[in-house]
Amino acid sequence: MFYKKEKEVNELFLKHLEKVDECLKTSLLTVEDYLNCKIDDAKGLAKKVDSIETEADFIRHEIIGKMYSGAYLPLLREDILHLLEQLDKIADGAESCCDFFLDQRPEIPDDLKPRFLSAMQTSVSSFAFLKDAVISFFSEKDETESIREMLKKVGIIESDVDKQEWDITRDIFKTNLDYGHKVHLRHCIQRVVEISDRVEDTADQLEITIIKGGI
Amino acid sequence: MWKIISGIFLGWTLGSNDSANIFGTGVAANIIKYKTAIVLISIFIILGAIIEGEKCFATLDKLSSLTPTSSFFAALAAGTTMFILTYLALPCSTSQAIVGAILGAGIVMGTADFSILYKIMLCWLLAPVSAAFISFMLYHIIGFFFEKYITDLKKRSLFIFSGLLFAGCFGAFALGSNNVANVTGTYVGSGLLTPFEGVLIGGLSIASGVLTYSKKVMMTVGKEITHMDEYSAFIAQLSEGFTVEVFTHVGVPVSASQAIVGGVVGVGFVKGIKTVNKNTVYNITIGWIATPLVSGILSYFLTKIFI
Repeated sequence: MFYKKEKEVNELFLKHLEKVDECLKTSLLTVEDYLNCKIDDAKGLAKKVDSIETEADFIRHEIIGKMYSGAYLPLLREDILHLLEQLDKIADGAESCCDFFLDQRPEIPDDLKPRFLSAMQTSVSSFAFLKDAVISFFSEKDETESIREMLKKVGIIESDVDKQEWDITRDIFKTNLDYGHKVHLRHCIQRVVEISDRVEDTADQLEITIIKGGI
Repeated sequence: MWKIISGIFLGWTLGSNDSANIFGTGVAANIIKYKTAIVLISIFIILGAIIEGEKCFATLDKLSSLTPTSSFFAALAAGTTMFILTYLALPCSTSQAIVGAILGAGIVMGTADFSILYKIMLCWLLAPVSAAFISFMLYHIIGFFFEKYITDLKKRSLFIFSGLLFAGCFGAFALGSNNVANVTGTYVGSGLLTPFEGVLIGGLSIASGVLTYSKKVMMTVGKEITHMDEYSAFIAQLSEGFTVEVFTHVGVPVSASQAIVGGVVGVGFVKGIKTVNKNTVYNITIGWIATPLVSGILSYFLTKIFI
C-alpha cells in the first residue's frame, strides 16, 4: 500500500545504475581494443556503448515520469532527479570518449599507449565506489557514514587520474611530435579523464542529497 | 437574524485568509492537492469550532455587553477592517480586529470594560513567542527520533508527508476552536445566538471562506514558507497548531498568522539562520496596534451613527 511509487523509482534507479556501469565497462573494452589496433572490434563495442547509453536514457525518462507522478517529497525528488541527471552524464562521457577515439582516430605513440590505458582503467574504476554508494543510499539501513567513506574514495581515485593526466600531458609535450598532434593527444587524454570528473561530480551531488536529507 | 450577516462576512474573510497558515506549505510545494487541503481544513475547522469553540466566547463577552444591533456593527467593522487592510496589503488579524470592534461599540453603548484587555494583549504577545519556543523544542525532540529510527528514504518521505497532513488537520482544528469566537462571539454575548448556534454558524462561515476564496493567499504564503525544508515546515506548522490550541484553553483568540511566524523563527534558531527580518517584526507590531485601532474607530462611528 505504502511506498509503491518510491519502490518503483528505486528499482528503476538501480537499473539505470547498472546500465551506466555496463556503458563504462564496454567503453573501457572499446579503448583497450583501439589501443591494441583492433579497430573493427572497437567499432562494434563503441556501437554497443551507444545503444546502452540510449537504453539508460529511456530508463531515465521513465524515472522522471514516475517521480513527477508523486514519488518522494518535492525537495528530495529534486535532489534525486539531479543525481540521476549527473549519473546520465557519466554514461554520456563514456560514449563521447569512445566516439572521440573512433571518429578522430588519435595516433597514440606506442610508449604512451599503456599509460592511456591505465588512465582509462583508473578513470572507469572510480565508478565502482559511486555505484556502491548509490545502492546503499537507496537501501533501508542507515549507511550514511559508509556512503561518505565510499564517496571519499571516489575523490581519491579522481585525484590519481588527474595526476596521471598531468604526467601524460607533460610527456606528450616533451615528445618531438608536431604541435597539432600534441594538442590532439591532449584532447584525447582529457576525454578519458572527463569520465572520472563526472563520477566525482555525481559523488558530490550524492553527498549533498544525503546532507539535505538529514535534519 | 439578518444581523448575523456581518459575522458570516467576517468568518468568510477569516477562512479565506487563515487557511494559508495551515496547509500553505503543503499545497504550494505540491505535496497536498489544493482541493484535498481545503476539504480537510473545512472539516477540521468545523470540528474544532463545535468541540472547543465555546471556550473563547467568555473572554470576548467580558469586553463589552452588546445588543444584537451593536453586535452587527462590531462584526461589520471588524470584517471591513480586515477587508481594507488586506486590500492595502497590510497585515491584519481577525482576533485583533474583533477586540477593537467590540470595544469601539462598547464605548458607545457605555459597557466597554478595558480591565481584561491586558490579558488579551499579553496573549497576543505570547502567541508568536510561545510558537517559537514550541517549534525550537519540537524540532529537537521529533528530530532525535526521526534521525535515529527513520533511516529509509521512503519512510522519511512518508513520515514527513503524514506529519504535514497531521499538522494541517490539527492546525485547522485549533483555528476553528480558537477563532470561531471572533466570528459569532458578539452574537452569543448579545443573546442573538445560543453558544451551539454560534459555533456552528461560525465554523460554517469560516469554512465557506476556505472553500471559496483561499487559493491565492495559500499559494502566496505557502511559497514564502517553502524555501524551508519539508521537515522544518512541518515543525513550524505543528507548533502553530499547538500554540493556537493552548490559547483556546486559556480562552483568548490569537492570530494564527503570527503564530506561524513564531514557528518559523523557532526553526531558524535551531538552524542558526535568520528567518525573520525587520519587516516581519514591523508587520506584526502594526497588526497588534493598527488592526484593533482601525476596527475600534470604525465600530465606534458605525454604532454612534446608526444606533
